[in-house]
Amino acid sequence: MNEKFGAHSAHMVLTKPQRLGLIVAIVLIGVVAVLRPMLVLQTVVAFVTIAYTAALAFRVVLVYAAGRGQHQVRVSDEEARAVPDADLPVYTVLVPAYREPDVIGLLMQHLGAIEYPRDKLEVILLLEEDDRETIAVAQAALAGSWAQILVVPESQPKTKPKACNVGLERATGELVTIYDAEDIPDPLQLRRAVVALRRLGPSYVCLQAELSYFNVDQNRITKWFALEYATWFRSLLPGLVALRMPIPLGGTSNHFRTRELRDLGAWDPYNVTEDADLGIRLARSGYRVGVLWSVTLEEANSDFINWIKQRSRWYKGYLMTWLVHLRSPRATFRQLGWRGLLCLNLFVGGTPLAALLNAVLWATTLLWFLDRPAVLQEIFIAPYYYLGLFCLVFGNATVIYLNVLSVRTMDRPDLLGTALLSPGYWVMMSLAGAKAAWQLVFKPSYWEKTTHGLHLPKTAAAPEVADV
Amino acid sequence: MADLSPTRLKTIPESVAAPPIVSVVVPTRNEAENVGPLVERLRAALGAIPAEIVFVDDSDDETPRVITEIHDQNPALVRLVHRPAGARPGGLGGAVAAGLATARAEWVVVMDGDLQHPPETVPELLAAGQVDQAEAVVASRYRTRGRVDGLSGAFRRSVSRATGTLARLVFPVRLRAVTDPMSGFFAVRRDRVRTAELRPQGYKILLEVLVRSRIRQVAEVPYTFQPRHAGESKASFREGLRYLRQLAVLRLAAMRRPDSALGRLAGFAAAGALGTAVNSAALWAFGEAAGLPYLLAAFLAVQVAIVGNFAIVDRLVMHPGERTTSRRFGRFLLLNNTLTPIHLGLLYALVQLGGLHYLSANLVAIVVVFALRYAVTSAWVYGIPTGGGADARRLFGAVRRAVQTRITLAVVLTAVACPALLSITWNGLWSRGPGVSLLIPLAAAAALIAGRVRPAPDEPDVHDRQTDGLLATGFLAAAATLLLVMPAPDRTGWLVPAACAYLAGAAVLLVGTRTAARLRWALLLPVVAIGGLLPASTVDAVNGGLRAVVAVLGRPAGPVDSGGALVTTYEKASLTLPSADLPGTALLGGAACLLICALVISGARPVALGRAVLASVVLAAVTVGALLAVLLTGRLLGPAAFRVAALPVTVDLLLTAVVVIFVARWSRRAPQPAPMAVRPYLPRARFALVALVAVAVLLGLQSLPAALSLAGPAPSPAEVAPSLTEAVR
Repeated sequence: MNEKFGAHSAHMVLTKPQRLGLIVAIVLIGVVAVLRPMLVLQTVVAFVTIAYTAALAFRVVLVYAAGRGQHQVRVSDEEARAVPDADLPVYTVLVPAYREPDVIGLLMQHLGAIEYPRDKLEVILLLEEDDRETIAVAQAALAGSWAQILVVPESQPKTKPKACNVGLERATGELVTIYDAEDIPDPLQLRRAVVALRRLGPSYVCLQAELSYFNVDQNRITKWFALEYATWFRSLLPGLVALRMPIPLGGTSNHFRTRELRDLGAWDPYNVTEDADLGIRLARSGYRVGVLWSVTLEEANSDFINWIKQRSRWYKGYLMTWLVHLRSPRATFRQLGWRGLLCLNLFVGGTPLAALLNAVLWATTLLWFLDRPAVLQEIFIAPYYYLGLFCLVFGNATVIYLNVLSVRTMDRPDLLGTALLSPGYWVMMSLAGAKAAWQLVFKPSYWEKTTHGLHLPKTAAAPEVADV
Repeated sequence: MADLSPTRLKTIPESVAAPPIVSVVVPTRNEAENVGPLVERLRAALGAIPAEIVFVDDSDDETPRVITEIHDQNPALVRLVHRPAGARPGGLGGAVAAGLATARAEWVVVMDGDLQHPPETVPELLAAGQVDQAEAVVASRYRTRGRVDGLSGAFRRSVSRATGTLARLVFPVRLRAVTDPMSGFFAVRRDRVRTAELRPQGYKILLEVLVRSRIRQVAEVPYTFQPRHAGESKASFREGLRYLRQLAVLRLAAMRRPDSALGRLAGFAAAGALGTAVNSAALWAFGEAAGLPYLLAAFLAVQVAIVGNFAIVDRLVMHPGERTTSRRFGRFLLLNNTLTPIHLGLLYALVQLGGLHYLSANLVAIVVVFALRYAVTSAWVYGIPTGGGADARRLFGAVRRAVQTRITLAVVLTAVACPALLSITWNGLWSRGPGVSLLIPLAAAAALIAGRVRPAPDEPDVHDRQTDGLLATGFLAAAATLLLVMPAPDRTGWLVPAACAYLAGAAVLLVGTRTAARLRWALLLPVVAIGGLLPASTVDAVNGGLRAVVAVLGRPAGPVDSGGALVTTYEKASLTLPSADLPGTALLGGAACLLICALVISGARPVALGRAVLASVVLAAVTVGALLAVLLTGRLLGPAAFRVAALPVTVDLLLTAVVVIFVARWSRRAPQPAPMAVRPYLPRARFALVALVAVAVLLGLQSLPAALSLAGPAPSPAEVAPSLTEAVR
């Protein structure tokens, strides 16, 4: 798999030239910092402020762009059902699962609800060789059913993208999609995807369906999470589509044309957000991605520590993807254009970095209000101070406003309080950002497993604890 | 013990039948004539009970051949472990130990092969074991029904009796239910025998088994000692002498590595006392003889004492657990040294502030730090490594205790990090400060934590040390910032949040985010102390109310409310309790603590509110009663007693007790989730502890001058003491 990627795998975080550049930069900054410490601090602050403002402005632009016109591909129920069964292509559904014996039964129920002719639906359950328990449960549950089990042989790296690649080799469908074991997809989603891909033509090789949560009301964290996803899939991604920028895919419910996906080398098994990386690579190959108007319900992470783990994995993956695609900036620029590069820097790299910087900037602000140390006054030189102040006042207000906007689009007025409390969510994001940065340096390929089934009542089969 | 292993001895292979219920182990030596009758009588006595008979034979005659013949007829019933000459360690006792090691049944009966032990008693032994739920059953010659017929001569009888009495004198607790500790005829549960620890020295092995295996539940069954059937007796005077030696060795072994926590604590204290002597001697050597500065000398002396303590504690007090000696020593050195800064800080404070000589101050410091050392050593050096063999319930208890210990450590370190807080608390004992006395919220928090260490049943078993570390870094940074930018040292308003931030960071590091989050309200309770920085009007209103109620209740001869103070008279003098000394803030703080605890324990339900209101009313009543008692003390005993009784600490302690009692009662009544629902979790935290101590010491040193300046104006206990003696007189 590595040969196909060449220089574009996250097998190593930094290539030799990148490493060299980093070392030279650190040494240079270090030398200047010793000679003129204030200058370095001022420059860093100026740079951070500008980058932060840019990332913020970019979000506003995206939301604005999304609001003008319809950028989700809509296929009505009638249109979806109108395609005769004989005209439908064979569809492969990949379901990677690891240590999730409890959700297999539910999975079969949800997949069974999909409206698609059975003889044209190929469901492949991807299980890891060492996960005997899930294999046993699945074998019992799937006995004599139309779904098949593919046990992924033990090999490193043991990640979801690696399993998906193994599954893809086996896939016979013209189209292929991925669902997680606990997903509840819209029953018409596959038909909608078929119609949409036919309508959009061969330049579109992938459709991302919208993700949402079935346990929104479990606690404050799930409410925040739901709002965030609503912003992501209803404002930010359509905005990227509108501006014709690459789209970092979500982990599930992305529908591909199998042949093109294979040609592209499928998923990078070393990247912990293989989906976002694939989105960028699709764009680099000149393909386009649409956002499909069809919802897959997932389980929102309801536990603080579990959430931090999951989010840190995403952030780490985004940072990795960012670094991987900046390995040859000129080629990236040639392939993606300035729009793509902007997206890569401000969206893929910017999201985790902003989460991380948020904590630093808030801490600085609080320190200023507590003590007004003179050194801060010196570091924030006038123009950047005012820019920073602008960010503090309007930036935060804007982000909260975007959340309130999502309350509108979700049509859930009861979430307004949650939207106004989102600074609490930012604290969690900052923590996850710090964890991601730490892991990027020390454990780049480590897959932070998220425990699922925390929405299930404890009295029923207690969720099996994932090995983390 | 490897040489006792039956695999190295000539063994007749056992058959593959169903496992027997009882294994009868019979040590034999030149008993060819007795073996056959013994097997026949045992078979008759046991009837339908599935059994095996294991002969451990040390004979040089044809006994093994006889046994092999019987084995050939009954391969399922009889087995032979033959120990050839030169491979017979431990003599008779060693033979029994070898038999115990090879037995397969749940119950093992040990009896002699000379038919002096009637096989008919074996079912009785088993029945007694079942009925009495005993771990061992002894067949006794001295119980009422049993008689000593077989021992030839009165002399031997009395010798036997005397040796038994001697054993009971040496082990009064363990042998309290045993009348015949010399019996060679007993039954024992195989899984309760610690075969590897037996050091048989020839004579009767019952003592060895009971003492070394620390068997507690012993039952007895009477039997009559039979005349010898054939062969010659092996009991001799020489064996008796060996017995005395064995008794002494066993007594020492029983004191070594005690099973009970209390015993270990005592052993640790004994080692500590010895260590104190070593420490003092080394300190004298380094400080006086070598002339080093006393802090450096104390540091070196502590190192010497730690090494010495390890030698004693590791060999004699603690069970070694699963770690290797070198790892244990590394941990011991590391963890005990993390407490050294606390030790040295205390020493410094005692020498500089208390004016003690450093040798005597060192003694005080050792005693104070002792509890911490014990807690840290037993938890981190000898504690069960996670995933240890202990069953769930025991593991749960161990984790629970460890969490409590670690929270205590976090509190101690918080005090080290914020010495100014200690000064303020100390001052608050003698004169009422602006805030609620820390005593009340701290005690309420402790009571709350005691009931909430158990994980809730719906808690996910998801933990992450990186998150712990990041959160703790945030909290500790906040604490450091607050302490550094604090404008004036005497502002409780800044100190308490800083201390809470440090406490939260320490708790997150030491017990994990999830446990710390479960205890969050308890960890935040100290903030109530500054929640008491209420506008003066509120406090005045409460104090006014207290005054009015006290004046009304005191009528007609009692105290009067005059000019914002309560006044009573003693002989001609009038004693005044000024309004500023009234416990209005303490009452409000106590009520706030009660409300928070009620909400935490029973959730946001009406019952919580009802409980809080009821408890607050009781608290107010106690406050009024306490004020009346203070004034009455003045009226009856005079101004000196009045000064002592009127100290804030008196009323505060009373209120603290009321709050703690209520919180403890609520915790006990709250429904307890099943302990097995959630796997207990305890992070590894020894390096976290080292880091926390370092941070605490740095912060503490930084704010030490402020704390010292605060400690100045407080009345020292010496000023209070004379008035106390006056009051007594």
